[in-house]
Amino acid sequence: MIETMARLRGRLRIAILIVATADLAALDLPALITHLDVYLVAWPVVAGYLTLIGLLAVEGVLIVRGRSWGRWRWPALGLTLAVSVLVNALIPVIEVPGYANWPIDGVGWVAVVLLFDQHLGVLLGVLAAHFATNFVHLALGGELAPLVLINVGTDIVTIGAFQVTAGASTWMVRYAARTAARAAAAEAEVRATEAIATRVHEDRQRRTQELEAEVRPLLTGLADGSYDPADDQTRRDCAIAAARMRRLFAEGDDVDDRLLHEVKACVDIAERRGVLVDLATQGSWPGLPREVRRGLTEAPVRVLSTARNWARVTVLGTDSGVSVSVVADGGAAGTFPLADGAVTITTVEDEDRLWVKATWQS
Amino acid sequence: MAELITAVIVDDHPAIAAGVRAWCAAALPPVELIDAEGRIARAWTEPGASAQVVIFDLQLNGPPAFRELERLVDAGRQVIVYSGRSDRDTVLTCLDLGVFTYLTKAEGPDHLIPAIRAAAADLPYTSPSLGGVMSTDRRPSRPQLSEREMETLVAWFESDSKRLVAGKLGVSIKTVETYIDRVRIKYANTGRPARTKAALVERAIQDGLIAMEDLTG
Repeated sequence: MIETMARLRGRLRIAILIVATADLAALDLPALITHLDVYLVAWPVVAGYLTLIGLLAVEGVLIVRGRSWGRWRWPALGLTLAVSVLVNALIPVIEVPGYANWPIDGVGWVAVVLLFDQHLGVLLGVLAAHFATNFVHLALGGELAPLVLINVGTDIVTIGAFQVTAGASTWMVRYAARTAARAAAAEAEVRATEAIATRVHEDRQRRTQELEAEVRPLLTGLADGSYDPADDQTRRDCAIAAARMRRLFAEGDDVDDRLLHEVKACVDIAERRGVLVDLATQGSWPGLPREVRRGLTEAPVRVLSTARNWARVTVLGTDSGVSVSVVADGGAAGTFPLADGAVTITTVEDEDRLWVKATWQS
Repeated sequence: MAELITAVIVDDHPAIAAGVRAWCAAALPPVELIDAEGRIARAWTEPGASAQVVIFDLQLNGPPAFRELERLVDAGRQVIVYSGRSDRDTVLTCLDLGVFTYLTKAEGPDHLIPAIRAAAADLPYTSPSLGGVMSTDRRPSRPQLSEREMETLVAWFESDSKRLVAGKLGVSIKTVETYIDRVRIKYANTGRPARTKAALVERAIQDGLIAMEDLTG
């Protein structure tokens, strides 16, 4: 759709250039040549004509190169209006309604070319200014007889109608192209959302299947008595499976909490190793920068990774800051950085347990 | 306490009731548990009516049953809310209504059994999850806690071990318990008055856990 609109715009631009060139070459050039003796001074009129031809030539080059006038549009437009004023001034007032006044249509076409793609209002303003020069000329020369005004007015209405229509068409194509682009963008967004939803769904389904593969033998084993509910290992397996199921069910909540998300990811890894993890959160915290999140999770996660059987992980948000804490069994080794930027680490050891807490002060 | 404690559990999940029954039976001394099979009415009729402690699942096939909870509390029942929910507003609402304590279902027999015993004796019991809620309470009506009390609550929530809290703060386990209990009493002294709250405060003052001026100040 967008490509179609772009192609249409390009062709319309060429069409308008052809119309403008034909007008200047087939209508205005003969008028100019046959009235060279009429103008007060001839050579500036010829120069004005050549200027307009030159502008059309530049447009031709720009079309070939696939470029637009950009900010040069406005000086070029100024030049065009200057030609309008200059040539008008060099036409004797009695010739204003006549054939010698070739710029009355020629200038307008050049303006249509220059204002391609611009708001229609700009073109209307420029054309009005251009046509006004004729009336000003007539007024200054005292030639405001009704017949003269009707002649000039008729010229202006017929010429202007074509030019405004041409300008309007470029503007409408641009409008249609924008609408099409917006529609295409909306469609792409819908498609992307659908794709993401599908992937999330697939991922969830996959994990549900994995979980089922894990839960089913457990349940079967419990039912047929091959697993003993009193056995510690069985209990641990059940607890871990239950924790995973809970997390899977909770994933419908669309929470935008990266800190918790990262903590949960680490808990998940520990659970895969067979560690029973008790995760509790309380309070609230703002969105934290990545370095802070890293500082908050690193040391606790290291403790979590050494846990043998169980761990308690908490995330607590208070008025003064956020803390991530892990208590775990197992002889966790290694030293922890005492402070990493704004994050402070505290460690407590107690026989078989190690408790590491990272706190970020807001 | 040689006397056998009786409790009634109102929970619509049979597995929970069965699990709690097993914990109660394994406790020393055991706790006698009556299963209300998810029906609140059974906590009001015998034998449930004379149970000393009510273990109450806040959500029985629907929204939190605050009304029913309030009625039980108003009748002077010692209610332990045992719920899957851990959000602050729900927990604080229950506390305001005058429940004895609040435990999340992630908290097992290590907390439920001592909580039942404490409820039967009018002694405070604060689980780590409840400690976490109290430490993040932002309401203007919240009781004034000292810095030490706050640190203790936070550490209790994080570690779930009074010994670790004691080690961290460099105090005795007894002191840790005192701090946690004092906070609970301060909470009992705020919000809507309830007979159960008054009993908790009265017992705490008798035991010298907290002084009158701590509560009024």
